[in-house]
This record gives sequence, structure tokens and C-alpha cells, in this order.
Amino acid sequence: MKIFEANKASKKIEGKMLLKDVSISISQGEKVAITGKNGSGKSSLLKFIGGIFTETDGQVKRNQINIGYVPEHFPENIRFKIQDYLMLTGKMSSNVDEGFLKRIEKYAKLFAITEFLNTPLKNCSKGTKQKAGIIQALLKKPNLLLLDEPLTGLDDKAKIELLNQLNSLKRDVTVVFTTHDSLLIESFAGRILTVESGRIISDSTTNKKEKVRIIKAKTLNRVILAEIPSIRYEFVGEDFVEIIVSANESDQILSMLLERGCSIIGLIERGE
Amino acid sequence: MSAFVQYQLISFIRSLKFIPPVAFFFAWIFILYAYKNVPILSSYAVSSIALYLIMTWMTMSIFTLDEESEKHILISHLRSKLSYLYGKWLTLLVIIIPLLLFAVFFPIITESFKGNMSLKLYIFTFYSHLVFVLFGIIVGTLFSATTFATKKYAWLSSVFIIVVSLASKSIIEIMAFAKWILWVFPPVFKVVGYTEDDNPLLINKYILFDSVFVVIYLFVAAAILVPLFLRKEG
Repeated sequence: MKIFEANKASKKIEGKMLLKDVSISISQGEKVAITGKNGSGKSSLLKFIGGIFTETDGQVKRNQINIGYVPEHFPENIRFKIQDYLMLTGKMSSNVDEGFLKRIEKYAKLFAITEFLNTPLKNCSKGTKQKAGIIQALLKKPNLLLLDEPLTGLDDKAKIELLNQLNSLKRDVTVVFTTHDSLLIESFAGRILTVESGRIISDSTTNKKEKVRIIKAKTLNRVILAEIPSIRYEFVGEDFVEIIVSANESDQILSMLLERGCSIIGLIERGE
Repeated sequence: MSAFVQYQLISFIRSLKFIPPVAFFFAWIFILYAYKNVPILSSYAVSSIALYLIMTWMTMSIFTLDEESEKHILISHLRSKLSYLYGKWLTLLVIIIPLLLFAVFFPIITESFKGNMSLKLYIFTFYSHLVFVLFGIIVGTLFSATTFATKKYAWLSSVFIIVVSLASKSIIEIMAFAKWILWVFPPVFKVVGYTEDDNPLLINKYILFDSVFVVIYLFVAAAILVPLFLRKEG
């Protein structure tokens, strides 16, 4: 089922053309990454797909579905404590039941913000606000999840947890996200849209037949990574590394890492 | 919708943006009834105008309360931009109800009036105050939640509309042709025109005709604001 279809659509705001000649369709369950340079129109395309922006020209069809939205920068001046904010926004979506508070507590624990639940959002760090933004969207149990640079401001543990949560979403949940982060694209996206000057210049699907695993490890010696047969790796901070490996080779690589004095922090799986 | 109204009310109160208009309103009412034995209808006309001013003020404050990303999150939860607009209007009505009741009952409780209230006067009083509240919401929405809001001098424009609508009778007396232009402004004199002297309020065909005009004006204005709001919100 198509949840979004656009034919030569464009979007103009205050005389400025944000999107031009957009012709795409997105099916239910697709995991779509939007990439491009700063100011290329990634966020505008994300909002356009979700209906936050509507077309100025062209034809667009959007299914009326439950949308969860996570902005790139969580609002700075929200005048609520985190738990009150999540409860109120939850009530707006009319899905608050007896277990709702438990779900808030569960997500708070997963994203390590339990101690801040009764802290005013204004007083929270950027990362904590971003986590609250992600949780409010996940609590909606959306059919379409829109994530605008979701890894921005998140600590390493929260990044891994977000990937875990995204991978645990039902298969029919559509996810569209903007990112500069290749880790998120490689570990989650099934399709990549590249935007430049408001136009989609590339629309490609990724080959996800092979299962891959992401190993998060602590290492004091970066040189050893050269010996590891990974698909790719990326250092996160001083001592941590995220290694994307073939699922078939993961046990062998875990063993190699342990033999070389690394500590394994986490392991997540993705793929078809 | 009740959760959204609750969210907006708490957010508005915690922002402290309500203090200037509410303080202005109470000061206006206390000064108005500083003297005893004041005429009923003209006093209520003045308190209605006070509500017109502060409602415009509060509407502009309420519509500029949410940051852009906060608004987008709220719309995603409400599932529609229209629900966001209606929720804001509902919030404003909830805020103004206690002030409206205060404006009506304060002079009665303090026995400030020359004369007694009647059922007819109560009906006209509530009608007059409510209409001016709605005029305020319309002017405030026009300059804070539509494409006009992005223009410079939004506050100045809203004050201009209020002043011209309140001065429309005098303007037309000086320049008769102005009546062909001024009908687009809130028709305040179709309400306060019946409160100018202290004669008993007469329910006749003129007041009924003007009331129908005012109600139609309010519906048409609200109907025009909806697409203007949607156009601004993308």
C-alpha cells in the first residue's frame, strides 16, 4: 500500500522554493533515508512527506495515518516536566490507557532518562530533550515515523538504543529519516533519497539480503581495527568503536576483539 | 482536544504572558466602576471594549506561544492543523470566561449601577461581551496565525484595526464614502450603538437585524481565517 505519492510537486514558502519537481512514492513499511548537504532540503522533504508541509504545485496523495514526528532540534522552551509532557501529548493522541505510564517508564529506562522524568524540560540537556522528543513519537505507536536527524545530540548508548528501537518496530511501520550519519543509513535504511537544492537527485534501494550486526566495543588500541574483517567501522569518541560486520562472521570477530583486549559494550542485528 | 487545551493553558500561565493583559483588564474595570450610580448599558459597552482589546492581545500571545518545532509535534499528535487552530480558539474562550463573568457581575455585586438589571439586559450584556471577545479573537488570529502574521508590524496592524473599528462611526460622519470600506472592519457599532444613551433597551427589528449581521460577520470572518491559517502553516 502506498502511503505517499507525489507527482511533480513543489513547495514554496515566502517566495523561496524549498522543493522542486518531487516525484516519488513511498510504500507502507519502507525505511527511507534522506541525505544531502546542509540546506539541501532534507528536512523540508521529510515534512512534505509527513504532511507538515503541503504542496504549492503538483499532485500529492497522502494516506491519513498516525504520524510520529521527531524534529531535529527539540523545542527549547517547553514549560513541562518530561513525564507531564509525555502524558499530555499522549492524551492528545487518545491512546492513553493504564499501561501508558509504564510505557513512559520503560522508554525512560531504555534511553537512560528515568532520573529526569520529573525535571522541567527547560532545565534538561540537549541530549535529554532529544530523547524526550524520540519517546513522545514512539509512544504514539505511529504508522509513519518521521525522524529529522535523530542521532543529533544523542550519546553513544542512546544512539544504539534508538537503532534497537527502530529495528524492533513492526515491519509495516514506515520510517522516513534525514541523516548525515552513515551508520544509521547502513544499519537501517532500505532506500536512500539524495536531495540537492530542493530536488531529489538520486533514489536508490540498498541491498539488505545479508544480515549484518553492529558491534559496539571499547578499545584502547585503534590499530587492531585494521585486522578485523568488518564491512566498516566508525570511532565514537576516544575509546569506543562501532563495527558493522556480516552476521556470519560476528562470532569470529567478537572472539578476535576479546582476544585483542577489547570490551564488548553491545551487539545489535539488522537486515531482512 | 481537552489535553491540548490543558497543555495550552498551563503553557500560557507558566509563560506569564497573561499578566499584562489581565492586569490591564482589571485596572480598566476597577477604574470604570470607581464611581457609583453609573449607567448600565454604556458601562457594559466600555467593559466589552476592554475585552475586545485584551482578547486581541491574548490571542496574539497564545498563537505565538509555541515554537515552530513544538507546533509541528503538537499537530502530529492532534493529527490535523485544523484541530490545532480550533484548540487554540477553545483555549482562548476558556481563558476569557472568568474575565467575562467578572466584567458582568462585578458592578452588580458592588451595586455600582444606577438602576436594576433585567433579563433583557442580562441577555444583551452577555451577547455584547461575547461578541467583542470573538472580535478580539478574529483580529488577533488574523495578525498572529495567518499569512498576515509574517508581515512586519503585525501588532501595529491589529491596533490599527481596533482603533479604526472603534472610530468608524466618527470616520463615517466626516467621510461618508468610508462606509463602503469600513464594513470589513469588526462592526462594533452594530452592538455598542444600542448602548449609547441610557434609554431602556428596546428589542426591535433594528437590533435584531444588526445582531444577525454581526453573527454572519463572525462566521464569515472565521471561515476566511481557516484557509489563511492553513496557507501559513504550509
